[in-house]
Amino acid sequence: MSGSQRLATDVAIDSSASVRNLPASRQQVSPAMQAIGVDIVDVQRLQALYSRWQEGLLTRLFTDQEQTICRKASGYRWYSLAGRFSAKEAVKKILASHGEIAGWTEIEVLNGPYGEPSINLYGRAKSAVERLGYSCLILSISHDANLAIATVMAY
Amino acid sequence: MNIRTELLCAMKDLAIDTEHISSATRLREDLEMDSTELVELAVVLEKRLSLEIDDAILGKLSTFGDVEQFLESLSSVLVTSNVKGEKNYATHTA
Repeated sequence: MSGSQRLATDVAIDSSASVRNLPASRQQVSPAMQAIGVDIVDVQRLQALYSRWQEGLLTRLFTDQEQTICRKASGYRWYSLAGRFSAKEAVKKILASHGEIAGWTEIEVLNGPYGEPSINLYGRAKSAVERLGYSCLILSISHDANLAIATVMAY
Repeated sequence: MNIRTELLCAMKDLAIDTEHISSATRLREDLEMDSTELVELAVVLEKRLSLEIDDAILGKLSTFGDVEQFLESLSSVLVTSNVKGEKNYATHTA
């Protein structure tokens, strides 16, 4: 049994027990969480890498659309780029825990209608997620004090 | 082109201490390389070796020897395709 399967079993067992301070109507069995990935990126470190390798680095890490979204008149929005980089790494961690791999530009982080980050998958990333049976990836990104952090949940 | 020498030079370029590196040296545990450094290593190696390196495969490799072997295989595919006069995208199964 894999780690994620064990986790799924644990969640299923726990969810059958009553939860204190929650009305009975709210105590429904939610979908079992399958996997979680988290990553943190130093924004200045990413900027330093860009200073050294210029556009070649960004082309390697980000799709054209991501670069366009994160561009402003005076350059790039580095917190946004760092957040996207950490999100990609968080997805890669989930895939790696199942022996799967994906390239940086095979994971794309764009924005939904409310500005919320959303993930598009291509190539190996897409086929790996399908193979693993995940139907949804949920992403949250935050940044402050020169750090960007991303959490991805897959179920 | 000596792959091992180029790989060591690329690592020195990233300020990694290469003095005690052997084939069994682990990238993450022993050299404490993280994903950002692996991206940079791929960029440096592409410039030094004129190869196209797949970050995803590089990121899956564990030891210095694994990377050396990966680069050797890419290099040999490139040489073969050049001899045949074919365009060939070098691939490697990790």
